[in-house]
Amino acid sequence: MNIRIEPRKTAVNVIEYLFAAILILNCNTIWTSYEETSLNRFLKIAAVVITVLYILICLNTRVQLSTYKFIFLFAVVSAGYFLIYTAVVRYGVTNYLIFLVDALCIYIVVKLAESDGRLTGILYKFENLVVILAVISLVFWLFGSILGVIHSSGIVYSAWTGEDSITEVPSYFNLYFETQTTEYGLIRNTGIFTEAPMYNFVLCIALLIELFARRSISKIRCGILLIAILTTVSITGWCITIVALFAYYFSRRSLTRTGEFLKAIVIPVALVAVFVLLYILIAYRLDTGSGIIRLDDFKAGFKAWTTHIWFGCGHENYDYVKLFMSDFRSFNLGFSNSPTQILAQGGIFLTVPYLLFTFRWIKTSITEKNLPRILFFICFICLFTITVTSYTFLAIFLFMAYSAIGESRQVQDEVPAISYRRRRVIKGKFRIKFRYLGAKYYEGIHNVNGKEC
Amino acid sequence: MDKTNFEYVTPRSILVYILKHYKSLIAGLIIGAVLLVALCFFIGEISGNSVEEENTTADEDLEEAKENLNIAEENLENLQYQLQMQEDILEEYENELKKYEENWEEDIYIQTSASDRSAIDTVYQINGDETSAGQLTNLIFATSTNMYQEIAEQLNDGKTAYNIQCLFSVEADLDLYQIVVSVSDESSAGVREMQELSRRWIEDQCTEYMQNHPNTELNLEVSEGDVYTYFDTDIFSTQRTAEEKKISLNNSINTERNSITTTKNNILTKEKEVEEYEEKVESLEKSEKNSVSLGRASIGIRNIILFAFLGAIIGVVVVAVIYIFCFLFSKRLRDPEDMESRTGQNLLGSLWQPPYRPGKDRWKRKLDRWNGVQYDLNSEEQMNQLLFAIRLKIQRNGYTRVVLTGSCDASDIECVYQEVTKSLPTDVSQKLAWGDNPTWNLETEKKLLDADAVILVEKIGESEIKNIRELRMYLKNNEIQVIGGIAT
Repeated sequence: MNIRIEPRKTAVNVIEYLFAAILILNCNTIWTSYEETSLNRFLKIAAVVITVLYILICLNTRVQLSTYKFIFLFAVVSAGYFLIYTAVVRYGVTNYLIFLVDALCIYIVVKLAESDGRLTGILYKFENLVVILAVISLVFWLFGSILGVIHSSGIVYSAWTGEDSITEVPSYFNLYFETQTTEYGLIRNTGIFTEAPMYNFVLCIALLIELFARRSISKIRCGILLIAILTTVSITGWCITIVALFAYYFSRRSLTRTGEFLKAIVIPVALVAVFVLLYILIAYRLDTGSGIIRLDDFKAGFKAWTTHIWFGCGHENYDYVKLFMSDFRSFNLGFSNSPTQILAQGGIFLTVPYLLFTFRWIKTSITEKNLPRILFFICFICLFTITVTSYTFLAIFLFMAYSAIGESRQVQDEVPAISYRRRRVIKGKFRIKFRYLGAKYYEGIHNVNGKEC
Repeated sequence: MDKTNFEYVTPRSILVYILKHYKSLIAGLIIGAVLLVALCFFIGEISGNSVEEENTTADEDLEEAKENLNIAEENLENLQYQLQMQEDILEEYENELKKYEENWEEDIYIQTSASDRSAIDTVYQINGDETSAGQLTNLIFATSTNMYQEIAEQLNDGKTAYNIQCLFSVEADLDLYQIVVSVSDESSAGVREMQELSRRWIEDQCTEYMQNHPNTELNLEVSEGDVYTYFDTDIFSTQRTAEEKKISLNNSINTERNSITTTKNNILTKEKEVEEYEEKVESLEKSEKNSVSLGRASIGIRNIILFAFLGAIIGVVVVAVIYIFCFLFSKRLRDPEDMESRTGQNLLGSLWQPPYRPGKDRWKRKLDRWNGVQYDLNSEEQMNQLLFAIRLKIQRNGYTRVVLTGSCDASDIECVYQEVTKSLPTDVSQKLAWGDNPTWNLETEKKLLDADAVILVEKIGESEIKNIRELRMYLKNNEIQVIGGIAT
């Protein structure tokens, strides 16, 4: 068998995998919280380098002029934001500049990939990496943390405790870390992340991509992600998973009439069951210390915002927000939600771009009648609201790359609903029809690329 | 008309466009460097070493001292900002506490005792015809706030109507025409007094009602219970919550005050540090012997290089941004390639010569080649190529009438027509005609009536993309085939 390697394609794939890896690593991995390393700074520079490489790879690719116009406008607006911020707020100016530069880099990659029809590919690559991480973490969690067959290979020091102190974290060959334990003594599966909510965020996004962005779902990938979410013992993750699975199964058209009929009967019952389950989980959550602290975070963030409505108290100015937190939680001063973090630290000034991307996401989903994209959005916004991910590359990327979600699923929905048995009988006919639809789909991409007018 | 479908560019073409203006980039580089250094001189922001010939160690010490001074000043500024924030928060806490205490003064629940409270329940039964009894029950219940007001006035012990309301509980049963009044107080005497006042008020209401309605016969039956003592959990809970809130606010205020004290101490320490560094910098500056003063501030070689470098980068970036803007938002054709990439019109040939000077501008030529565009043909070769392309199209397709038109000036189209017809064989040249833009020129429209196809003639640097698209759309709507374009 002859395998033909195309250098450009391979290079683009490698760069996209690197980009996807950066998206994951930037989500508070334990490697970025080592006392002595500065991986965070490295990641921010790496994002710029990867963008430059991506531009160089796409140097000869014909892209719509409007794409460059958008990139140019984004760059100009970012520069304007930086100048205004420097003139008005003056807190953490360097961090703000890095944040804007990274956001611009992500926007460039998203726009170039979108023009080249490769944006969905980046999402898939991200998901593939998360699945690999999930497998590794599950192995170590089961055989290391639970059964004790594998022993920890050492200890690392993490600065991510919310109290500015250093803690010792057992490490398993630097591939898995035991960072958190539940109140019942069960070790939570946190993979390579500093805490379960962040790992859960990454896993949930991967699951949402599998359910709503892929053309067809893989039961193995789905199973791995579901088990990993379960082992993080994160109520947020469980709730989002329940909602996502429910939305997925009932949003898909059934292949048979019986299936449609059964679905019509089951939906109300399942809806009630899901609501009851969510109510129990959320009620349980709100009764615990973690839940109360999360509610207090909303209050603290909101109060901090009211003191500086327009420009906020400063980018990553956590000390100021801490001043508004209640006394009972002095042992845990970590922030836990994104919306009030953006409001408190960036004010309306920084909230506006997030809102613009959100509205654009909603608008395009509704105008294109793209149900998977809407469902992805609902689940993502829920996650974003109860996890502190405002400035992570992954959240910024998803806000910008919404157009890739549900793109392939829409084409699939055009396939006529017929039973599996009947499909086998009229195999030839179906193939022709399917090929026709596939051709239409690829024709669409071809035109977008600009190779054909 | 979907205009975006036609416009395709590569990052390389943008890069080449910027690099071709290398002179402007160099100018930006120099101007940026000079301006930033000059700006630093005039503003006096940079206070570094003088231009030195000897004594580099002293220079380094001065640099270090200045860096330390800058860091200390920055820390001081941050601390002052922190102090300001802390003072704001303290003020908020204090205001909240004050507001809370003011409200407490009005709240009887805070002033009274929760344990060993005396209470009494009184039932007022109104007997008579159903309508009147119902009306009176409703009236008494609805106007009970007046009762509190009157009782407060009659007691005259400082309690407000709201305080009295807190001590009373009035329930009305409109089916049984019954009103149950419960009153509580710290002492049984107080309870009796208030019960008596309330009874009197209700009786007055009843009398007044009967006077206003002489035909009605109503009877008020009062049954009083015994005074009993109890522990009021509501009052206790309210008092406890209030006390906890007060303690919490006081704690917050104390914590904040402590933080402010710490911050103030830190500021004092930092101020001393800043003073020390200032003195050190001053003494080092004075000790500089081989220094040359430049304007209001003295500047070191290292800083000059650093700021010149920064200025150069900023200058280049600014110029590049301007050219990117021109590239992205330009409305006219820049080169023959634009015809294809921005309007979607294939080219038959080009008569346009790039403004390269012979023997010079080799860079631009190389950049064009790197971009996949070659302008190596001379005018004669370009014309021959074009003539051959036209002949090929006309003869192979059997066209009898082809019109040269375009969105550029009519004289340019005519000029191209003259040159082409002059060089083509007569049988082919007779098939050609020319005309101004048919979107507004009637003569050309008439020529197009019997034309098989059209050749678009566009002038580089003049023809607008929008007009070319409009013309193409016009020809497409009228089902007139476009053979190709000529860039001139």
